[in-house]
Amino acid sequence: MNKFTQWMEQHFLPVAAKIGSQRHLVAIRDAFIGIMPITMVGSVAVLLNVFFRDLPTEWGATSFVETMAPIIGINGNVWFGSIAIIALVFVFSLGYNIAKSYDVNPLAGGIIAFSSFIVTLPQTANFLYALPGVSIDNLDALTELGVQAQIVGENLNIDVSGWGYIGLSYAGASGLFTALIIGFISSMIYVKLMLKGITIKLPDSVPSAVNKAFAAIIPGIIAVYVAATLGYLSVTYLGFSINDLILEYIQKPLLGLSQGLFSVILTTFLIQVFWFFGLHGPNVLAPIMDGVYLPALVTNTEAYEAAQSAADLPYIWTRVSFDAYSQMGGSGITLALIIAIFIFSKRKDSKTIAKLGAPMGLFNINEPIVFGMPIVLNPFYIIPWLIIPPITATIAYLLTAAGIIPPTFVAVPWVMPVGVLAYLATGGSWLAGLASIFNLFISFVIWSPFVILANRVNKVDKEDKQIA
Amino acid sequence: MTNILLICSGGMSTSALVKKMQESADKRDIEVNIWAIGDAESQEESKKADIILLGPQVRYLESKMKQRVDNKKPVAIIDMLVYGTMNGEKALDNALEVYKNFNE
Repeated sequence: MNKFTQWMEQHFLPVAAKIGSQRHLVAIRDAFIGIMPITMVGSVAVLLNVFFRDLPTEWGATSFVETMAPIIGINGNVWFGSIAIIALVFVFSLGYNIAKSYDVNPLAGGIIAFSSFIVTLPQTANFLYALPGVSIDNLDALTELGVQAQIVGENLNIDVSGWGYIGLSYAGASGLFTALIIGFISSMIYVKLMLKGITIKLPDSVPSAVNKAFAAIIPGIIAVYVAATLGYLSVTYLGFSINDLILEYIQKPLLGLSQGLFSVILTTFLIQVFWFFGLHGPNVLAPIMDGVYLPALVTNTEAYEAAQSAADLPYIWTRVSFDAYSQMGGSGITLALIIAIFIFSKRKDSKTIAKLGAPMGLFNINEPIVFGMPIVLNPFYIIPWLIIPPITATIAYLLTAAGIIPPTFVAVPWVMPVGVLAYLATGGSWLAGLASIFNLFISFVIWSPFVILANRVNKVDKEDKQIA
Repeated sequence: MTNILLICSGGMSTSALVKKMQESADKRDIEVNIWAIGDAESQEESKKADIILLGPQVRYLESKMKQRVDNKKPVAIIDMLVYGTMNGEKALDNALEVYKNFNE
């Protein structure tokens, strides 16, 4: 054990440290943190509509839904300006954070990334227009005239296209990876040119605000032009917009990969391993947690709002699924450990720490437990610590995959107490809340023998000090 | 007045320690200003601090923070047990000691 921890400290931790402090990964993580107000406001809107529109409709309370129409309408507008255009918000946040991390004018970084993303977007909208009162018998006649027409249901439809539109399918969750890639490239071009001093320099007598704005002109022009050229080349030579290419060949495969049970188990397991060494697991793994599972969450939110039902959501496991089913009381489901200590422990030290950690544990903060027990580098608790979250995640995953509980699709702050978090994240599914509480119980069953065993081992602390 | 900045990943658990540290300082009439933030806000906030303390769970940020303040301010990691037991008194003593040693 001693040698193992030493080896890990020397070889594994530096890697974790690099990931956790790598400038670009940190900027991406901070960009996701930065858009939190917008993901949250959109989630509130979706959640309110669950309770004002979808659940009452399901229960047949149509008059209630009609009375609530104004509120439902406002919620729809809020959703339109938040979740529906999340890629636009994100790309600004990303450009801002990348520039900030290099100490270059961050506002210009955000604006340039935003503009660069827009220049890659398809500008034409195609849709079907149902010709009112025209019989479907006229299809052949229209086709002969060279009009693109088709029959949808009982109506004759013609294909219409118009210029001057930004499509939600590019500005929302499905555009997140394009926003990430284009935003990254353009803001890096801007930052590097700024740092190389390829800027317009005005005399010192000019006010600094003016100087600052002028400095960003050349780097900004080059960054936006590079993005525009990339977008143009993609459409001209590959036949698809760069947004469609990234969505089909990067975003969908990556998100698909994250959806296997094995990926979920591995991610929950790695979080525990990092925490065992006293490192903030979700933070180190932010590129995966926020970079992959958050887009899955937002895609689910969109799919829910489009269908107004959780029956056919595309992704089983999202960013909040971790919080809902495998982090109750904090990583390692230490809320169950606290309960086990209150019931079974005869150790004064454990009880003191549990009492200290309980109020925070209710809101999923568990540093007192992790560092106070301690869990960190403590061989005594390593087995439950490593296996509990993967087990509970597996239970929730299988229940979701079997269709017993709906997938999570609402972003909920991670400080929500056990049960409530899962209930809200699934748009008010009692079963999901119960599943979360059931997971807490399973964790309690696994933690308990170790707590009872600890009663007999009085030297845990001493041994621990020798190891440290 | 010594400005002590605590950093963890979200500023949640460190803020609990901040409260304990401030209580201990008030009791002993030590003039300090202590606050906690998440790593994401550290760029701005680190400018206002005299000493920066990292929660043990983000100890990998040490070199980044030292670089950020050009080694002109002390950056220290809070001891795990002090952190876990939320021992504000000891955390404050350690911080002031680090600050004193750094300035000597």
